[in-house]
Parts: sequence; C-alpha cells; structure tokens
Amino acid sequence: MRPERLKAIAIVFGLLAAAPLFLPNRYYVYIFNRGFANALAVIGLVILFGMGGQISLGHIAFFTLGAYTSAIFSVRLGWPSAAAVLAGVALASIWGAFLSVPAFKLSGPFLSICTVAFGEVVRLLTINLVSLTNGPYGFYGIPSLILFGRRIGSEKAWYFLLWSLLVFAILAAARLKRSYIGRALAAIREDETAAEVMGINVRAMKTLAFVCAAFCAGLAGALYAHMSGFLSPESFTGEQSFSLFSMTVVGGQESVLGGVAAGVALTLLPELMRFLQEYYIMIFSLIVLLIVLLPLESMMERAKMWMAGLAREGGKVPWGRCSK
Amino acid sequence: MGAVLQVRGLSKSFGGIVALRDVSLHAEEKEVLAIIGPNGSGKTTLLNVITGVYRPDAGGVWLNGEQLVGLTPAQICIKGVARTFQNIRLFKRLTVLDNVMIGQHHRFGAGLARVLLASRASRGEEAEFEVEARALLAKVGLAGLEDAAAQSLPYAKQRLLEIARALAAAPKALLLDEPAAGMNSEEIVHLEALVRSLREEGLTVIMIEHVMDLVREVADRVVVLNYGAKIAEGSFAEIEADPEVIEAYLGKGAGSCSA
Repeated sequence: MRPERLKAIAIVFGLLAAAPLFLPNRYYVYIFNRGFANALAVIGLVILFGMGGQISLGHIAFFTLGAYTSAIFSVRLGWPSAAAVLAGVALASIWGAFLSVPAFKLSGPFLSICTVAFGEVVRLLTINLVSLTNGPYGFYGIPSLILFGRRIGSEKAWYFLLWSLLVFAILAAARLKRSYIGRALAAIREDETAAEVMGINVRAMKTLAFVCAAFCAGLAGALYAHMSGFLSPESFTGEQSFSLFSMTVVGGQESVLGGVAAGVALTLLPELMRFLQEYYIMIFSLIVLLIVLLPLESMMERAKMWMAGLAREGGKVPWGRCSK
Repeated sequence: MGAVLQVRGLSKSFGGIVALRDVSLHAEEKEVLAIIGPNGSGKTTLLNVITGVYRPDAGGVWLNGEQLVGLTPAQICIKGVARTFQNIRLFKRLTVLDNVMIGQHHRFGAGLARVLLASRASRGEEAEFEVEARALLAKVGLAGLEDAAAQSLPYAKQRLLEIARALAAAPKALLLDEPAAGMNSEEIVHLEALVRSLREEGLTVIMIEHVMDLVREVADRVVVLNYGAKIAEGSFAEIEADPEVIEAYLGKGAGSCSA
C-alpha cells in the first residue's frame, strides 16, 4: 500500500478514535457503537462473500445466535459476562461450520435460499423458545460486560472497546486476504474446479470462510447483547440480513475497509435522515441503489485522468475510455 | 527406469458412450509422452480421469507406484500431478502473480493463527514463495507481467501462465492439454524450448497435442488414441508410418495413397 494512502487511513482512524470527545451527546456515540458492531459483522461477510464468493443472505442469524447465547449464559446460567460472550461466539462459529456443508454442493441462488431459510429458523426459534429467550416479549436484564475486572458500562467505554476490536478485525482480515488462504478463497470464487485441481481443499476453505463470517457476526452479536441490555426478535429479521449484505456490496465486496466504512455509514445514515420522516426509507434505498449502480471506480479513475490532463495539457480533457 | 506415471486398463463411459476403452500407458522420468488422436478420441477424458475430475469405471492410475484412483483432484495435485486445461481455466480477474501463487497453495505451511498474526514464519514463507513464483514467470517468458490481470493477457501468454501455475505446484508429472492450440509458429518454438528444459530438469511431461510439428520436435514417445482405445504407441517416425494411425486420421485406403 502506498504511504500517502496509509497516512490517510491512519488519520481517519485517529479521528474516529477521538470522536466520542466531540460528539454532542451519548445517543450519537451509541449509534456509532451500533455502526461498529454492524461493521464487525460486515467484515465476516467480506471474507465469505467478497473473497470467497459464497452468499449468505441470512447473516443476521449468526449475530442473533451470538447475542442470545451470550444473554442466556450470563442471565440463566450466571456465567461471567466475558465467558458468556466467548460461548456466544463459539456457538455461532459452530453453526457457521454446519452451514458450510450445504455450500459444498450448492452455489449462487440455491445457496442463498438455503441461508435465508437458516436465518428464518433462527428467528423463529428466538420467538418460540419462550423458556429460554422470553419469546416476543424480548430478553431483558442482560448485565453489562466486565472485562479484566473493569465494567464496560458507558457508551464511551463501549465505543473504545468496539473501535479497538474493529481495528484488530480489519488488520486480521486484510492479512487473511493477502495470504495464501485469501488467494485460495479468490480462486474458489473465480473457478471452483480449477481451484480443486490446483490442490486447494475447496470444502475446508468454504468451511473456514463460513466460520470466519459466523465468528465476526457472533462476536458483534454477543457484544451487542451486553451493550444494549435488551434483545428482541424484532431487531433480528431478514431485513437486517439484507442490510448487512447491502453494506458489504456498497463497500465494494472485496474491500475490508470499504465494508467497514459502508457498515458504519449505512448505520448512521438513517439516523441523520430522521428529518425526512416517512420518506427516509425511500431516499435511503435510492442512495444505496445509486452507490451500487453507478460505476464509482471508473468515475474516480476518470476524474483522476481528468485532473492529470488538466495539469498536463492546461485545460484539455482526455475523454478516452479508461480501463483498469 | 521405473515409470513415474502408470495407467492400466482404464475404462470410462458416459451413458452409452464409451470414452475410454481399456487404455494402458506409462511415462518415465525425464520423458515427454505425447498423446494424439482425432477429436473425440478420449484424450481429455484420459487427463480428467488421471487428475481425479472423473472416476474411472475400471482400471487404475499410479504415481510412483501409488494408486491415485479414489483420491480427490486436490489430493492428486498434492501427490504431484499438475495439469493445464484445453479451454484455459485461469483465475481471470486475479493478477498473473496471484495465479501462480495459487498453484503453490498446498506447499504453504503456516496455519491460520500465524497468518492472522502475520508471524515471522508466515511472512518469510510468503516472501520466499513470491520470489519463486516470479522466477517461474520469468522461466515461461512472462516476466514483467506479474501485476497484469490474467484475462488481459493474449491467448498464447494465457497458455504459458497455465503452465507456470501448474509448475508452481511442484509436480512430478505435468499434464498439458493442447498447450500449442492457438499459438503462432514463433510461440510454438518458444513452447518447444520450454518443454525441453522442463524435461532436462527431470520432469515427466504428458502432452495432448494436435500440432504435429511440436510433437515431432519434443515427444520421446507417442501414444495414439482412437474412439477411446489405444491403437498405436512408439516413436514419432513409427507412428507416422503406422497404417492404422493413418486410417484413423485420414480414412480407409488413405494409407496406400499417402506413400
């Protein structure tokens, strides 16, 4: 990566680290925290879908599994909250491994239907397993997280915790992408048969991608449970799965930083557009559509060429086709 | 010298169509074996059975005495059989260098944890394999194109990249499926030199080819398939004179005319 780009990224992250000191009230910090949790889940989808080409349209299920497991373990079984979070992450990851089994045979729309079904099963379980989840009334009284003897209670504390976890996750995902494992996932996305013939254990790689994705979403969910203190089946619907998926696509699918930026931005956006009242969904969808449909990359490239042309030829614009 | 790759009694049918009928052949160390035959004679099916893409109905394939039938394509590649594809199957949107480094996949040893922590072992391994991949690209004649997208290469260069990717798996036997298809005469001369140098390095090369100039130049031995069965085997000169081979290519009665 070029040094100037690295510097720009460092500045953005530095500003984000200091943001809670400037934000006008706790509510905004809370929204940022939601954005960070979503971004964490999106990193998993970037690995699974962007790098590996495996579609999951029921991704909120892993978030739900992490959240409810952690809540149940800490409230019903009295586990320390940190251990309960780990249990939530572990259970979500195990289910990630299970869900990779249909992906051995299925791909494209068939796999996506399968993941939608999985998402629905988990959602219906949270509603109907009343003795465990308190069903449609919602699960309340979840204790706040205690890490190394320190209680993570305030929005600001959560902000710094989630922000640092996010930075770790970004680094890990970027390393994965540039490793032989990331290349193997890309190979499977491009041509599964050729990947297999080149000595890649396709099944193992698919399972790995699903586990990574479920791990990220499960961690985000388990933390969310302790952050909000309350879980309701209504906040984990198919709509949430689609919104995680659109965050991944808007961020550029393969780009870890893009996915994180989209995850945070698309969580903040609805809040910033509250003044639009009932029209906000319409405007919001329109923005997402435009981001996906417009050829942003080639537009940026063209803009760069245009600038370079301006500098070189003193005003002439090279409107050639630009290829990457 | 023992055979590196041995195929014995191989049969494969698809429904009523017999693609391979009791085919046996072997390839020795430092040998280039060419497999020729008219279209639809089962050459590519043979390659697909050897590399585990298809399971044979009968017969076996051995690499240095080890049975390959029943293993997955990935396991067969790891044992030491790498191949190229007739209808080029590169990872199109990835870079040339990434394509080659995907070929090295099974040789990487660092586990997930080491990769995520970017441990010294993992980074060292990555750097080492990158150097090797660049050297392989230089060897097949693709130096300087490392960062280009595979799909942006001209046809002949894509074929060379497939060879580099297969070599990256460090195979004992290399199977080439029509490597010269779509190449001009200059490019074929380059390919000839490449195949020769691979043989000198001790590799066993099995090559399906229609371009007879290439077969004449580099093949130590030739096997001819027709309708899924082996009809001849020998040096290029022997094959050229074989009446059954002439008949398979040109039809009945052609043998007497061609002399």
